[in-house]
Amino acid sequence: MVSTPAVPPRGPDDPGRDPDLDDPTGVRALLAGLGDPGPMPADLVDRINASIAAEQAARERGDATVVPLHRPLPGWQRYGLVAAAVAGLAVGVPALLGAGPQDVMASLSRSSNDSAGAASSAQELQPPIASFTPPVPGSSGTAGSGGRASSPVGQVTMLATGTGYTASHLAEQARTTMLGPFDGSSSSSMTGPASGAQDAEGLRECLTAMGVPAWMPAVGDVATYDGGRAVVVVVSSDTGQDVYAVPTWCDATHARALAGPVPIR
Amino acid sequence: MNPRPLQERDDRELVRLHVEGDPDAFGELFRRHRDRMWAVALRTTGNRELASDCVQDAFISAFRRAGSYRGEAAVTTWLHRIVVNACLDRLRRDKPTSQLPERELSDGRDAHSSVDTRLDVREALDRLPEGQRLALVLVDMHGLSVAEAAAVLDVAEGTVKSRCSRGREALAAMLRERSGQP
Repeated sequence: MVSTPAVPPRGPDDPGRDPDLDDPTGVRALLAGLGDPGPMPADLVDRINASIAAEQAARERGDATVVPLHRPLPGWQRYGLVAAAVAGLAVGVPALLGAGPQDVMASLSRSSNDSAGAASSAQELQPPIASFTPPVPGSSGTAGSGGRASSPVGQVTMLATGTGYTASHLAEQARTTMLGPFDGSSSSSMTGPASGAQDAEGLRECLTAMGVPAWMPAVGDVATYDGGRAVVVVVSSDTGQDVYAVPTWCDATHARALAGPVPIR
Repeated sequence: MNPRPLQERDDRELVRLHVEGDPDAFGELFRRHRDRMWAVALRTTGNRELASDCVQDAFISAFRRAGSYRGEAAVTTWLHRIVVNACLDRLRRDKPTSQLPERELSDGRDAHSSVDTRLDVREALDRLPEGQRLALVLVDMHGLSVAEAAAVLDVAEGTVKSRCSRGREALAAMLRERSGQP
């Protein structure tokens, strides 16, 4: 077996030490004598192995952020794609009618993309937070309600309600806020530039890094969790919905869940 | 003829195999380097929870960015750099004023116990400017050569030497002050 040997601290008697690093203060010897932290804890080894396995699985799928064309879609997702197409026509046709030649070419170019492009375009076509059309209760599987359960495959929809989510009521609050009727009072109250998981693209990267498959639609809410700024996100799968809380800075390389997955019942 | 098992491959071969799609090559790299990267993360952050997050961030980042490894430095140097950068990202994010002391040094009771000494050194280390602290962590605590530390930190060797020298003097002054010595 070939392995990279650990580099032992070089003590004052080490003939290979750098004379430029002579230390009359004694601090070098003090620091070297603080001891080795020991091996990586077993639970952390397991955690990272699981993350690597998730990364490997995503890689073997081709691209975690691309929805495979051949993937058989469950019924509610097919409805979701129809909804996206209808929404695209509703937004795109008037835009084409009022656009110049270059804009028309750009629109046509976008419309000819593959499924990944379609997912991306679906995000681009999302209405801004302030005009977000909330989901209708019990509308899972129906078109056009805008919520996670009815969103096109892989779509991420963002809210910014500023809701104060708590660990003890996370699932209940998420169901009420993101899957329930919209009362018009939860418009954005959060300020500052969107970054990390605070926009749709960043949230998808964060979720993917946590092992959430890219085809699962999600609704994110920029809010607070147990008093700290966070994004609470409901992820839908074939079998149900789970809620997570993630830091606002969560991204592809700094993925971390503050809570979840907590099933929404 | 069967290919050599991963355990017999060197680090550069493992990176290459991983980039080419081998599903197990990166796992072998992780197994091989995890304890060393854990140590540098813990020494850099001084906090087990933070170090855990950093080292996880780092290995996932390395998994994804392996294609950018050009083979100019040793794989272990490349991994050290990724871990240290992940730690700095976390530290700056969680504690934007990381160069300012968050805690006072502990009081003088039991000043001779090794645990207190270790805590005092750790706390004094946290009060150093970031560049000096990293240089001392890598060279004095982690045992890297000046050249290796310079490669990890992407600075000149002379910079590492001067940071070490100034860091040691500052640390010694803080510890003298702590113990009431002139």
